[in-house]
Parts: sequence; C-alpha cells; structure tokens
Amino acid sequence: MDTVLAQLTSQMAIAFSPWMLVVCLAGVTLGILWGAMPGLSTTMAMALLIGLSTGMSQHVAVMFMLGVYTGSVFGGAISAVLINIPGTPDAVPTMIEGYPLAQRGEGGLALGTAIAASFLGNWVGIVLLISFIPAILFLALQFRSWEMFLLAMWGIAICGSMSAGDMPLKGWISGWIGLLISFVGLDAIHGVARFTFGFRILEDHISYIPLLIGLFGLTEVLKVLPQKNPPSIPSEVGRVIPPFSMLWKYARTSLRSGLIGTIIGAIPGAGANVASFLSYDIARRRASPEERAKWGKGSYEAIVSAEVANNANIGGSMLPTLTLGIPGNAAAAAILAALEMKNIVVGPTIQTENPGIIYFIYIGLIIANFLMYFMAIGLIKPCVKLFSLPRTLLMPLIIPICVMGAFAVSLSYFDVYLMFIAGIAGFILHRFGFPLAPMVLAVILGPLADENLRRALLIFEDHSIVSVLIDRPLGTVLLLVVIYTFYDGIFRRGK
Amino acid sequence: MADTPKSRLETDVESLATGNFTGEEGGTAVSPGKDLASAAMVGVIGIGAMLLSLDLDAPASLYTAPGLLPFITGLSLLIMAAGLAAKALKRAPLREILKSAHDPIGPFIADIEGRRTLILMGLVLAYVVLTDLINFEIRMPAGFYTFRFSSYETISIPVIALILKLFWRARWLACIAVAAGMVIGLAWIFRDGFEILLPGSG
Repeated sequence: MDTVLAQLTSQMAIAFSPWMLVVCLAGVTLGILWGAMPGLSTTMAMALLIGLSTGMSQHVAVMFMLGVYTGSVFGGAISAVLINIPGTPDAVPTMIEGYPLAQRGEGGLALGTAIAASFLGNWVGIVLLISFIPAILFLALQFRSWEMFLLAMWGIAICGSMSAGDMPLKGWISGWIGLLISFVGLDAIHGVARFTFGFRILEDHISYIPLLIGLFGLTEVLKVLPQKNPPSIPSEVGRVIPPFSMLWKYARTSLRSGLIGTIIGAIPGAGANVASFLSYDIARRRASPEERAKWGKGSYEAIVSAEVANNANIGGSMLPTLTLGIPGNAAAAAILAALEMKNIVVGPTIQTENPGIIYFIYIGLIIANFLMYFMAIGLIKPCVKLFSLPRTLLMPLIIPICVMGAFAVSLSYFDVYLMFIAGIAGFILHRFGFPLAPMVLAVILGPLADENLRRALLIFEDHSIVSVLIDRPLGTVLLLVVIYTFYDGIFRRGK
Repeated sequence: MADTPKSRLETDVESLATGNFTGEEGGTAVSPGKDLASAAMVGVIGIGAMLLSLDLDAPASLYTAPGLLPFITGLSLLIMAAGLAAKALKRAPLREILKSAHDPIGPFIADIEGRRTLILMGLVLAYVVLTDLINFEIRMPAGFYTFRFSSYETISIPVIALILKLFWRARWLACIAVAAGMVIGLAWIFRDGFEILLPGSG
C-alpha cells in the first residue's frame, strides 16, 4: 500500500510539473486541430507523431501522445457540426445530428454539448480503466504460452471482424498477411532466417512503426489528396456552454454510452467508430418517442450518446494495451509503439518492470481530459478559420512528416522505403476493400503468437488433446472464444 | 455493380440509418471482379508462404519448427482465398466477371482521380529516392546559434512545392513559400526542438 502511495505521489509530482502541463496542452491542442480537419484522422495523428516522440523523454512522450489522443478524438466533432464534414469517422453521428442544429443557429450549443459529453465520456473510460486494470493484470499473470498464443490469435481475428464489418473474411485476410510480414527475420527460438530472401537487413524483422506511418499516413494522403475538394462553409457558432439541466437530462444516456464506449474500446480492432455508431443506434432505440422524433433532425441526446462513447473508448482501448500488450485499436497501437520506443514493457508485468508508469498514464489521461474541455471551447472559433484552408494545401505537408517520422524511428532509410511501400500497399488494399488495422495488429502480435505456440506445443508434446483441454481451462475458454469469433464472422455477419 | 467503393461518409451515413455497422474502417463492398482478383492474389501469397515454410530448416522437433506457424498461416490464407472467391462467384457468374475484367487498369487510369493518384505516387517515390541518394549539410554558425540547412530541406521544398502546384493549384510563388515555410519549420522542430536526426543530414 505504501509503495502504491509512494508511486502515485511521485508520478503526480512529475505529471503536474509545469513542463508536463505545457506538453499535454500542446498535445491536446494539436490533437483538437488535427481531428477537426476533415481527412486527418486520430490514427493518422498518432502514427505521424510517433516520430516526433522519439526525441522526447519517456514521460514527456507518453504525456504528449495521450494529449494528442484525447484531443483528436473530440476534434472530429467540430467540423462535423459546423461544416457537415466529420473531422474523424467516429464523428459521423455527431454530424448527422449537429449540422441541422447549426443550421438552426444552435451550432454553438451542439458543440458545447459535444464537448461536455466528450469530457464525461473520458471520465467514464478513465474510471473503468482504473477499476479493471488490477483484475485484468491478475488474470493476465495466469496466462502461459498456450493462452498467450490464443489471446494473440483472438486479437487478430476479432480485429479483422470488427474492422471489416459485413466482410470479416477480408479483415482476417488482412490480419493473416500481417502475420506473414511479422515472421520475416530471424526466428526467436532457433535463429533461422525466415522469408529474408538473402537480405541481411530483413533479418532484423520488419518494424511495425514505419508500417503504421505508411498505412495510416501516406495511404490517407493518397486517398484524399487526388479527390475533388468538398465545399467548406464556415458558420457563426453562437452560445457554446450548455445549461447543466440539459446535461442532467441525458445522464442515463451518458452512463450507458460510456459503458458501451469503454467495452468496445477494450476489444481489439473496435475503436471509436464502432463505439459511437453502436451507442448512437442503441440510444435511438431506447429514446423516448418524443426524443426519437428529433433523431436525424438535430437531437442533443444523440450527440451525447455518440460523443460519450467515442471518448470513453480511449480509456477502454488502453486496458488491453497496457495489461496484455494487445492494442485496443490502431490509435492505441501508436501509443504502444511510443511506449515500446521508450523501453516501457507493456503486458502482464508492466507494474513490476515499469513501476508507477500506469499511475502516470491515469494522471495523464485525467489532465488531458481537463485540458481538452477548456481548449475545445477556446478552439472552436480558430477552427472555423482553419476550415477555410483547402485540403489540397494541408495534405501535401503530411508527406515530409511521414518521411521524417519513419526515418526517426531507427535512423534507417530502409524504414522510409518500408513506409512508402506500406503507403502504396495500403492504398491498393483500400481500393480492394481490405481494412488496414488488422494488418498492423498482426505485425505487432505475430512474434508473440509464433513463439508461444511453439513453446506450448513443446510442453504439450506428451499430452493428449483432451488432457490439455481439461488441464488448461483458461486456454479452453479462449479457444472457444476464438472458434466463436470465426463462427460469428462466417455464419452470421459474413452471410 | 460499382467498381469503386462508396465514399466512407456515404457508407457510414447509410449504415447508421439501417443499424448495420460497416466496421471500424467503413464499408468494404467492391465489385465481384475485384474480390476474385484479390482471392487469386491472396491464394498465390498463401501457396508461396507454404512453400517457403517447407523449405525452412527444422533444427529440433516439428513442434518448434520455424516454419510451423508460417505454414499454418499460408494454408489458412489459401482457405480464406477460396472463401473470398466463392463469395465473389456467388455475387456474379465467372463469365460476367471475366467479361468486365479484360482491362483491370484502364478504368483507373481513365479516371482523373486515378491519374492524379498515380502522379502523386510517382512524386512521393521520387522524393523518397532523392532524399536517400543526396546527402549534405551546410552549417552556418551565427553567435549562439548554428543555422543548418541540409539536403533534406533542399529536396523537400521543390518536391512539396510541385505537389502543391499540382493539387492546390495556387501561384508558384505561393506554393514555394508554403512548402519552404512548412519544411523549414518542421526541420527546425525535429532537429532543434527534439534533437531528432533528419534523413540525409545530421
């Protein structure tokens, strides 16, 4: 108990230092502006900023990335409400409801509701993250090789299902190709070179960070820049801060949406988009007939449901990332990359190998949430000005950031070429309807799956299948979950 | 039978109206022809992975063979490719798919957005290759601060200005000014602000 208190106090002292607050403020501001710009997604921001975080100290990098994450998830709501173009895909429900309100002169109030809902959503996510981490860590410590292999495979499979919607097969294919990429290099047990084709540089494995930058940075530029520019019409915003009575009216919706957002966030591959869409849909079904009549024409309750959920998703996505080393979504994969680059070992042993870092992340999320609230109110008007900038001006400027970021990771030009190839491959995969997140997740989890499967098989060499199933109940449960994920994808959603 | 996917926004708005979620990365509906081509490619990758895995040494038992999981992955990819092909053929008969698939690249190049994308890819490739091949750095000490200008800025400014000219379509002077301001600013943030080495320089 004393150790926990001591760690908490020391991490609070670091997190509340003026420099850390400035870093967090910079991250939140950058995140809000980035998220508000149509076409610039949260994942793209996170992927590109990994490069910048290489030059920061451990705590500064973590605080900066958390600030960007928190800010950019909300940022999408600003353009959604004011110009009817969602800054990020998870802001589509906010756009459907917020833009009609803006046209009626209630844009400010719609945005104020979105800000308050986001603030609340972050709180729900943080509280649930803090509450569940000890239990998940305890459970994770019971995992052995067999369970770790199954967990990694489930992560890839569910990510494939969640990313591809009605075509889970395509999500799985993307994930399985990612697995093959992860096998490139010297294998961890015997040191045999796999899929290197004689190139020594490939023996060191393919880093997932340039892949992340290519797939979510360069691919987006290739997708968005050649398109014709949509019209952007900035509007007046009016009153921003909503009355408390209005927020209280939607307290139940907020709580339900917060729970949905956090749970969805904890499932690998399901991020803010699934969270806000699902929460919006459930809230519509549960709304009073009088409120439901406003749905689609400008409902404040709908905005609350979507914004609480997509922000609660942040806390949820950190849960598997920190405790199991399995990112909850692509943005969390970028957080994972930043943590790993700063030698923070995530997973069941995070508490023992990096004492106090979890507390720092909790405090960082809380600080980022408060700063997000105030900065969001302050940045609405500058954002309106920002929308007048064409995308054709902004997107080319992403290209040097992609090159700098990929190079900064290990100062190798090979990574820059890798980023370029990933960008082109991402574009082609997108044209053919394949999601990209499962591939990144598989590249991260592939080595874990490979090593643990072979270890487990060696342990089970003299056991019968039945005895393995009986002796390892946790593994059996996970095996059933994996089978169910495929069953659900093939026979229900994939029909 | 649309050959290009619907925009992300269109699919998302549709999915919200119907309550059918299109997944975290949006809709994936493409033509059966594209799905069949994908299936063929994935099948080739799967077979390739299986063959390469069989070729790997197995220093100890089969259970720890380095090619074990890669082989299983390749085999599963082959099965998934068959599944994808079956789904594509269920949506349209093979004859119809082959009839429309005689020229897979043509429609993309004929489309203005497709041509712009190809030009952009070429420019980015040229940019990446040039920053790799050309390496120099000029240092100009000025009292307490040393100004640094490297091959990275030298290559980035004209390439980004050219991309801006092609897509933003402003005057040359404006494109060069924006590119120079952005590249020099970024280089300063990375190199001086965070002490991160830039490609082709120090």
